[in-house]
Amino acid sequence: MNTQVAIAHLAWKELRQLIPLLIMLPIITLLIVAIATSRDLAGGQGQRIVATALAFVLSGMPGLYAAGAGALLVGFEKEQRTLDWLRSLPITSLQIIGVKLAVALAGLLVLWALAIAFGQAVAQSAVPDLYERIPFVGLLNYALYLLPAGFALAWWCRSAAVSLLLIVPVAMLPLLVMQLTILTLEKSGKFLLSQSYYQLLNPLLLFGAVIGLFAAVSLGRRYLAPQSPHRERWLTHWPTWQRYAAGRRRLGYGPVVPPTSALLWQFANQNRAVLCGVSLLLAASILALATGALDPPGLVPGGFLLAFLATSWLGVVVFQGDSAHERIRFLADRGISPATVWWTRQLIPSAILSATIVVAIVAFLSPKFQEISLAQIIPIVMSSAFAVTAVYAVSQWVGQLFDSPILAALGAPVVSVLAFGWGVYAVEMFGTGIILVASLAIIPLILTRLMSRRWMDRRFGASFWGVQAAALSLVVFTPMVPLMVDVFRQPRMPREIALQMEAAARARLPNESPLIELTAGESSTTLDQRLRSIQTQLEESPGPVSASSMQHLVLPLQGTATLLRLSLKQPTESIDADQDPPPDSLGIVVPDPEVTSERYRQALEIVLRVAQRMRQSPRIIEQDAADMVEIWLLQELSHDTVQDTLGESLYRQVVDQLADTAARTEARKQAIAHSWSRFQNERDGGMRTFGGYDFPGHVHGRGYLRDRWLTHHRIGLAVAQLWTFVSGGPQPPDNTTLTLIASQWGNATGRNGSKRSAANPRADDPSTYPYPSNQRFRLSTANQWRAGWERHAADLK
Amino acid sequence: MTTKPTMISPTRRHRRRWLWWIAVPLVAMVVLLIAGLWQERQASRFIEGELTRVRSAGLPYDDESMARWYADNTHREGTAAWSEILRLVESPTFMISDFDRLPIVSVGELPTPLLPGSSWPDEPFVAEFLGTMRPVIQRIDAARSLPTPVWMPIEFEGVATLLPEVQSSRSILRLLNLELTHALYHQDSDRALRALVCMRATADAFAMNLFMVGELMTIALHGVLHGEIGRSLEGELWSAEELVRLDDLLEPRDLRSRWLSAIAGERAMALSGTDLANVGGLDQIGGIGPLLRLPSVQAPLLDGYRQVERLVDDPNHLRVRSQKLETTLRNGQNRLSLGKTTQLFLLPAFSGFARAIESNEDSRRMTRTALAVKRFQLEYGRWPRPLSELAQVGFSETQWHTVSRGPLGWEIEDDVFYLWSYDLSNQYDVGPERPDEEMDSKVYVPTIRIR
Repeated sequence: MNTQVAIAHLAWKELRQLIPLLIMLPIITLLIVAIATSRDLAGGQGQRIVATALAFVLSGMPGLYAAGAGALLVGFEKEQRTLDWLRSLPITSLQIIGVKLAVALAGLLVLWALAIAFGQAVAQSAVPDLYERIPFVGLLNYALYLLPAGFALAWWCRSAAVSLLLIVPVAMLPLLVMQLTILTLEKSGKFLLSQSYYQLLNPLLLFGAVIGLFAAVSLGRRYLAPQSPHRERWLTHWPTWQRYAAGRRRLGYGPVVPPTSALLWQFANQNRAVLCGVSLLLAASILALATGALDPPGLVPGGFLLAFLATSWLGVVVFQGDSAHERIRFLADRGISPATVWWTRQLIPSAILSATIVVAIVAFLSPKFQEISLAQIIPIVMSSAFAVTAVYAVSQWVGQLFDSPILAALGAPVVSVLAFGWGVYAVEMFGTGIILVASLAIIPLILTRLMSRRWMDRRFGASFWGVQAAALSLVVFTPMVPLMVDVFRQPRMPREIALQMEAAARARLPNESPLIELTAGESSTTLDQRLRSIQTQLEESPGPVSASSMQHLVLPLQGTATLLRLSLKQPTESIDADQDPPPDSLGIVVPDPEVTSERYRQALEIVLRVAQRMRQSPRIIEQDAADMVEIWLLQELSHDTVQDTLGESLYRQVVDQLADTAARTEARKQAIAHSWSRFQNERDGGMRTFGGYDFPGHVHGRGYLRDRWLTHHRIGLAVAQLWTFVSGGPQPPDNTTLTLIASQWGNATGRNGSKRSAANPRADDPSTYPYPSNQRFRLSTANQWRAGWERHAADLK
Repeated sequence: MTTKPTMISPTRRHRRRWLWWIAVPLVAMVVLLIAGLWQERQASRFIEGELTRVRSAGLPYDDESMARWYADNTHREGTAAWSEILRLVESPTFMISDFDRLPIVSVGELPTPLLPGSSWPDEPFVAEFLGTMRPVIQRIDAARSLPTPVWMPIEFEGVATLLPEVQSSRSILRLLNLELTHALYHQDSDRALRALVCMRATADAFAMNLFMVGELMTIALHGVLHGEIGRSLEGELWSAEELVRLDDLLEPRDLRSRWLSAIAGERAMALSGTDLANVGGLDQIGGIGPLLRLPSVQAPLLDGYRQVERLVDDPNHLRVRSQKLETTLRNGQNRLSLGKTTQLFLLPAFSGFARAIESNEDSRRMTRTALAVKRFQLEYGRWPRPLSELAQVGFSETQWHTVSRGPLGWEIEDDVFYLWSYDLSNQYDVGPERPDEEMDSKVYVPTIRIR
């Protein structure tokens, strides 16, 4: 075999070793990106989740790969003892190291390209400010730094797991140097802009990458060099804790120890390095969180990341120590029960985790955090404890599934993120209860216990994977169950009413022109000009008047008309003035009553036409607005002088409009039918709007998809209720019906929507009805339908 | 007979040891649970007793009882009339294109100082506007005869309750203020007096002392009235009879009932379960809502309200006692007790409320003193020197003293009588020296100039 062929074979072998990692990371990334950028999530309340998930996944993918590549290509071979075989090939140690590094770098370039492509796609489609949210280039540079550092550690450490643990503090080094530099600069009075942080970090990372490369090559050459006798002799030494023990004890002939205690000690000894490392990481994370919560905020994300990784690796340790080299067979062959093995593996890691949570709580209760109230701490502690437990449970499951400690150590954090993300997604999108989602964390624990017999016997057949798939399905589908049940059980619009409305909607609308919004006429300066401007708008645009004209035009116009009427009743007093005011400068109330009467007539005529045009609208909101306008007209007609001021013709028109209950009811029915028809045709676009009203929001507060899927049925039911109500005849409705309609249409407030809106009372007696001012004006669905004012209006004839 | 010694196998011994490991924490947990349940029971009994007391006193305890209480303490006779007035004062924005030119009711500026006969370029425009609004002022004048306070449609939603009418009532006051300013400019005492009487009627109509915000709004309306009466004394406008009518406008309002009503309303809002978790954004923290419904959390809050209620037992020291209680509650805060934290978090700012009530009462006393000084001057042809001479016009010593910050300051210079109170930013008490008008803008000492 010549050198080139050996190198080619070596490169191919290295690539095959990396392929699982290279495939797993993009697939998981794609999965998360697909969920996160789905139309529902991106368009709804999930923007924050989208940004966070993408920031983590996009930046974390090359970083995770870089951290694990060294352990996979070097550490794994150390554990398999295949490096000695490599040494026998006709290539130099430098070439072995070089090929490994080159293949790993090529893999990193591929992932970089994918990350950039994902980033571009997401930034263009869903999160335009993605690059402002995450320091993309800085995170890619971090991967470049981590790759040689990971190799150096893998060459240096005996265990791949330990090298993976050590990568965390090494990864923190550039951040630490950066913080120290910033502190030094700040102490010396030189202020550093926040953008400069990354400008400082990037050179540090590149510098670190060069040092890491030198270290990786140097340590690799040292490892692959012929072994010295000194090193071999060191390996035969007894470990410190047995150096001075009696020979009998060393061979295990000490006092009789109960089997459970022996198994606990065996677990602790077997995984002591990893357990110590993880404990240190957890301690460091608490320190970072405790100091970061008050001082520099940059430490907090670091603390969370550390805590997450440490918890995940603690979960991996549970079964990995026994899986390595199939050590578990020793216990299986001696008939140790799976239950004893399972809980003796779980006890120490879960104790470490519990102790960490307790220490964290004590740290947060310390006087330093005086300004953070208990009310703030309790939810943080509760959610953190749940998150930690969930990550641990998922990771120990991954640890039992994977044989390779490196794959398990790399895969567990990613799977944990996926599981946690699914839980958050279920709560936010499906509205699933937090308690149900939290209780799913127990499934991985039950699963590892159920599978411990097969795991001990190394029986990974179809039934093993079948149970795993069933458990996975349980975790995935259980959060959807409450939503599915609700969708199935949600009552819908009765068929009979649906047919009636369909027939009504087929009838031609009296006015099919688009809605118009009246304005006061910006160029008009006097009242006469404004009144003329509104009349012109009504003549030129034949469409129904929009309810949005109420507050800025109709209500002030009504106020003006009332003022004109009052002026007619009580002639204006003369007011002392230094000089005569310019003639008709305001043009409202003038001494001539004829002019004032004419203005009053014009204003009332406009208001009447507005009411008539609103009645022609195919939306129910205009029907409610028309009700308010007609109530005001009714109140105006109740004043003695109004009939004379209006003249017989206009007075009769107003009375005809007000007294025609049948036409009003028909207009309302038309509006309901057309609003429903339009809602059904446009539900993808305007799902939350019905007949001009925004339909009341979430059913349970959370659950965007739940709300979206159930809204259609809810609206259908409410519309049916409205249809029955409007068809109910002239007699006053009972209070239960009113309360039901109010709660369905969001007019109700107060606890559980148990009462109608007191701020918007029904005009049962027009003489005492407090017609709302602009400040209080609010339209409520069907609020004035079949109220007493309609009976008063009918009596006018 | 030999007894066979009991042999305890290592496995059994080992099991016993494990039993201890389980039993001790279990017992500890049970003891803790019982203690917790006992505490909750005690708290629940306290709440029950407190709610019984509240209910039997006819006070509100949730949104629905609040609505009933409000309806019982207001009058519906004037609802339609005052609603119409509110709509009428809003209409000029539509009618008048140059509305922004108007001072007080809009953003137009008044010449300073505005003395009778001085230059006021926009006066004709203001005069025509007021002429147009004359029917509105007449409606307000007519509505004075209706019983107050007036019932308005309000949706009680705990702390989220909106008071649009109370907010709008300031528009009425601004219109009346412009009317008063114009009347003072023209030395028209009839119009000026009617404007002031209408101001008081407006303040009475919208006196919504069912919770702090409502009462604070009423205090603000009264503050405007006091300020305007004081300002009107700068010109030699009023006759002795008119001064007596103005004095009638400054009749004191019952402090005790106002305080108790406001605190009862605040308590009802806090108890309206919908919003307890929403106060101060607590719901944003997440998961805290159910905890806030624990009796041990709600009991300290109710206890706090009870203590605040009792402050009014000594009305002359309301401000000082409120400050003391606030300090005591803050010092007694225990972060480990969610109840105490919630108490501090959810109790309203009663100390500031007490300060506002006291400064409003002092402003009323100062305005009444100014009226008495003017009456004295009209009767005796000279200024009172010292203020104790006001006894000659039936004005006792306590009436020219502030509630807790000593007697009002006074000085006569260039035949102008100056009367001043204390710094409203709460830094200084009433000083012997007349405050410098050019003083730091953060320090505002109300001063009345009487001519």
